[in-house]
Amino acid sequence: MTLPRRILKETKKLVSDPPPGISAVPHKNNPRYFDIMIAGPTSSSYEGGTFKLELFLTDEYPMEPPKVRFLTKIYHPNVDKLGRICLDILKKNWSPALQISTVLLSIQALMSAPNPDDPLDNQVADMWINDENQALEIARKWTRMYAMEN
Amino acid sequence: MTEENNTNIQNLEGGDLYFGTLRQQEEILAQIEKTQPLLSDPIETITLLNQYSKEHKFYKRLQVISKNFPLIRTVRGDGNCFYRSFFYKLFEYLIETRNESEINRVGELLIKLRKELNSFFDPFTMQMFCDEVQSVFDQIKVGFVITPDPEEFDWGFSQNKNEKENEKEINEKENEIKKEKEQTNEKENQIEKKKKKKKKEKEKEKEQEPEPFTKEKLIEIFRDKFRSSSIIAYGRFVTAITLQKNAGLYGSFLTGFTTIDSEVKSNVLPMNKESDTLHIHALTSVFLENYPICIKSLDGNSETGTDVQFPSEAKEDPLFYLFYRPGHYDILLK
Repeated sequence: MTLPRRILKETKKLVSDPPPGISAVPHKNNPRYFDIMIAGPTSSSYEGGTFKLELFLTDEYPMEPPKVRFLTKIYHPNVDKLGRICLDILKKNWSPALQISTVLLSIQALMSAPNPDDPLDNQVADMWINDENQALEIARKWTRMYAMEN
Repeated sequence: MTEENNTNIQNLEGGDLYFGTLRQQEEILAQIEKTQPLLSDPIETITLLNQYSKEHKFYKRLQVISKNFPLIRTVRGDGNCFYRSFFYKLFEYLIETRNESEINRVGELLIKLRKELNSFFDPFTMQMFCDEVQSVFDQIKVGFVITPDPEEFDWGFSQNKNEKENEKEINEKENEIKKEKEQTNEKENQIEKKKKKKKKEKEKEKEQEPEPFTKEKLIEIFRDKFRSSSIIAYGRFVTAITLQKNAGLYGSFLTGFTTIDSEVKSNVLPMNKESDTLHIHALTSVFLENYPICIKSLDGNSETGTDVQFPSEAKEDPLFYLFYRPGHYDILLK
């Protein structure tokens, strides 16, 4: 399977100069598959945690968005139990003008600013709307339980 | 789509509903891809009458249009049809007429647009799209097929070739170190390299008879999903920056509470989003000057449909005619 030069260049850039708090490493056996780590943004309930994600570039990339999913359990209104993420640029607002780093930065931003009005998990979103303090506390607890080395 | 899928969507909620809906949209698009060509051969315009009953308001108008435009090329209804039609016909016009002033104008425009796109967007992402459009234009300008240089081109080249390029880079670095040590050899090596390169180029020229870049070659490109998508993406980026540069003007035409910024993010930059008048105005204002295009619309109240010209101020005859029905553009042929 030949790998388009765009993906090669993008990979090179990601590995040598990743955005702060983010790492993206391609699999040796499948250069379209990336192991992602995003550090919980400071001042968020995810601070101190390291979150694993997986990212995959389909044959249609960059005409179609990368497929991304949280592997680390996270309490967030825009991430469901399967780790799927509700983010506009991952689906209907993806454009070939964007790139992998844009997506990862947007996910990091989503962690800083959860959006319960556009939820993926209704239960979590309800908690965020009705009792934000409790929601943030649960998020911090899950960060300690799942996103930190124990 | 099976019935089972439909019931599942209705009973879903949260993430499953969101992704189920997206999957449905993807399935619709996949179905369109299976049944509609990206760009059809010319077919008789009258055959479209089959789609309408005699009482339908489009029927009579279509009859009138088919008298002046007996043939039509249909374009896939994937939301990109305006861009696809526009760029295909623009390039076809340049090939068929060899209109030198238009060729020169478009050539200069592409250079200017690359700079603008690179300042608005990350040049890294723009490269492959600008290169694709430039490649088509260059081949039109010289009149024959140019096989892209893998060292220059950004898309679709094998890993083997890239590995060879890396090896070549490493080899060149080693050579440079040697040259620094032996100053007299340095100049000799350079001259020899130039001679070798020229010899190679001459050999290449001899073994390859230049293949004319014909309309058929252009059609091949527009029937290649990846290559034509790159051209469409380019058109979207140009439309996006034009709308944003003139946000004051265009913003006043937006309905509802949307902004130019959100319009661009939702309906211009992503692929497969339908074009509306605002997008068309923006793109044509950049790409056209003295020669307009004319959109024949079945819509409206007139007996014969309406004609809309873009840009409205252009004085010459239209370069080409597009056919508009709500949500879709095709190409009219005389």
